[in-house]
Amino acid sequence: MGEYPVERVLKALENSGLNPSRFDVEGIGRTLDGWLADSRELDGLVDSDPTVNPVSFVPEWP
Amino acid sequence: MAVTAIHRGWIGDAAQRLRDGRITSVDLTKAALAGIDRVDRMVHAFRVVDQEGAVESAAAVDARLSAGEDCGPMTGIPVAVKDIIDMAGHATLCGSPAYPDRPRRADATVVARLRQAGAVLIGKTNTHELACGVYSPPTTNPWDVDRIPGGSSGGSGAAVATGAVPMALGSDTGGSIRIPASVCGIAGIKPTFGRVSRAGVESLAWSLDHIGPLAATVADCAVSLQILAGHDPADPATSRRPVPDFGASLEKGVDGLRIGVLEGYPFAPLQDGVATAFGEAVDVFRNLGAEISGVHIPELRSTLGAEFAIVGPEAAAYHRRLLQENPELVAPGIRQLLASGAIAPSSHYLAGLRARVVMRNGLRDAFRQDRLDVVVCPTLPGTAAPVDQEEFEVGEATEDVTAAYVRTTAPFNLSGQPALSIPCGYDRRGLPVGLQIAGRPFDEATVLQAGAAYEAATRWVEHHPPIHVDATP
Repeated sequence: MGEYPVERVLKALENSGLNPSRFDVEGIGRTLDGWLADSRELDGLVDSDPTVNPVSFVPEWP
Repeated sequence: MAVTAIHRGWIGDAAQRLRDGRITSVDLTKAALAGIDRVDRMVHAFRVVDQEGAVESAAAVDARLSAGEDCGPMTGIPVAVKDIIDMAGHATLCGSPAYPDRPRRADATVVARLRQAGAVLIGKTNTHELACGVYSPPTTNPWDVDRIPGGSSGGSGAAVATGAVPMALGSDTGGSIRIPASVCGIAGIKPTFGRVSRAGVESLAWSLDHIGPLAATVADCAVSLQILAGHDPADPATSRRPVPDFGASLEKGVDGLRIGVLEGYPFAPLQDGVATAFGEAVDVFRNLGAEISGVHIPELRSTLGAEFAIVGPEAAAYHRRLLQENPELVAPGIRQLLASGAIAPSSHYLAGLRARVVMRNGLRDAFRQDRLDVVVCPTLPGTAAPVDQEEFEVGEATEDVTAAYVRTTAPFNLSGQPALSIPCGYDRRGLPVGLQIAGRPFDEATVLQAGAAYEAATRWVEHHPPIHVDATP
């Protein structure tokens, strides 16, 4: 079993204001498990370097 | 197009004839409409054709020309617009039944700029649903109607490839300009992030969305980008950097230019026909005097993970109301992506954003260390997939079509660099192969310069698909 079983996805959808009965809950769990694996790989790329700052915009009034 | 001067392109050629009084904009527009009438029943590139409005606009342009008004490079030229971009008086449906069929009140900034430059807006082209996919039904590929036109700007790709219009606007979040350009055998450029306004365009992912032209030739891309580029107060992500003359570099050639050939994953594996055509393209650059070196950027191995880590949550946020109120109106695969994005942990989104910085730095360092002017790779690992297949063969393996296409294009959405796709030959089935040329941020001029040199040396641009019309009167 992955990190995103049906119960966890159901609760997360409800907490997000989405009606679980209108979604493929198992499919979403599989997608999120895949993303979790991606996340670990991405974290490995950043190598826990806290100086990698994803915010690169310069504040500017439109 | 009579290619008398390939650097002038279809638009430049037509604009010259308009200026000389040899043709009128009404002639051009009627030829385009007749062309659409002949070919669009086979490829379904257009969601709507504004026959009456286009002829009226063309007549107004002709009146201005007759009165001796200054004629800009786009004056009187018929163009099309992807149906995620607002065009006043027409609905924006985004390939989705969820969008109301109500006319939008105002033009997107890019449409307003085209209109101001005298372009004749002939219609709106089909897109993959919510600009999130590479199949773009009901549009098919003019090289083989049983194959996909790419996406999500598939309608724009097919419209230009059939010859009905010389330029159509597209958007590109993970490759959606370059993918259809590659599989339809035309040119298309994703400019630098911030070069072109997204105001008035439906978003897929704010931090990855780009707008740009799909066009018949590199010169047509250059002249179109000239009009589209520049700061827009309505899109705060647009840059205030000055816009150079993109046409000025087109005839400079590549002698002495330093070109890096991207190697390793995600730029391999490739279908055999793609590998052969790309190898020959590199030889062309070498023979034209470019200095060629191999470049491997290991940070790019996580391209797909980073792309979807960002697209999922951003798209979910943008379409939140749709997800809450009418999720059944979204195709199952996209619905699953959006719902997953809505509940993915913030750590995942941040992992994507931070990995993206590392990837951008990897590309930056490669350009600096090897003093590169541009890098090249095949636009896609494969040619146009059959319309009913989700997977195809790439080298020894079977790959998901969407993932395969996106792995070679998305690196430049993540880095924000400008990237052009131009035709570079055919596979054994006669399907077009694309060559991708990417440059330093805000250096579209050198990207276009390299593309124009290759195009002039090879003249793939003179090859047309079986479904094609010459819309030149």
